[in-house]
Amino acid sequence: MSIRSVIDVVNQMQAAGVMESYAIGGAVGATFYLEPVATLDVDIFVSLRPAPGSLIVNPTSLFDYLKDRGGAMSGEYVMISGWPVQFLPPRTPLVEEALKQAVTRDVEGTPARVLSAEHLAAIALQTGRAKDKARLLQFLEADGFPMDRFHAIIERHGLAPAWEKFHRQFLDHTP
Amino acid sequence: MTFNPQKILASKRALRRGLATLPLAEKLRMLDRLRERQVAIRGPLADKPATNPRAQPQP
Repeated sequence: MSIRSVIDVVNQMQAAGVMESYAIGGAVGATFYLEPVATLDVDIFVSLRPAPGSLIVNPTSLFDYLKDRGGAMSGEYVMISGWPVQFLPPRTPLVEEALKQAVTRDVEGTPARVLSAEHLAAIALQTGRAKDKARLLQFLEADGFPMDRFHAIIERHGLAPAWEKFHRQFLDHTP
Repeated sequence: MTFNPQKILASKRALRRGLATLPLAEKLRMLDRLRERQVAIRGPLADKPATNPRAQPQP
């Protein structure tokens, strides 16, 4: 069981042209910036190319590639090196931007594409589940990203009201 | 050892900062170990995340 192996496989998939680009998100992505927090799966955002002569993006080639190499499908997950991995297309302009602006980090000589801290924080704000709010608080407490870039992102993607609400709930200590 | 809440909170923050600044590879290995423990606790039938916890069969 190794996330390093998952990163190796995803790098190979990108090199083989199965996907245009990828970036690790979710709790594993957050671990690139924060303390590790237990998680059961790996979220990988992917940008796929349409098949030649088609305008429609089809994820079949991605899953075929993995199946041919022994990847077991389990619901919406693919088991890679003992980890359930979920490949996610960007479904909002925010995630699309986050994928385009992802950064490459070095993991003992292996390149790993990961969403930027400010985009992970903005996505947590947008998604808005309890665990996402907890993650956003972790980012804020760790002072782990440039606030000006975070604010630019939330303005650009219409998240200012959500941020104001979050601020009132968790950061505004006045009675 | 202290029962001073301020010192306890400061110590927790320092521990978390220390963990956050570990080398990436070490932090990823910690995630591997944390998941192994979770799987061990939850049992083999739960060796995958639930997309909808309410849809899980009742014990």
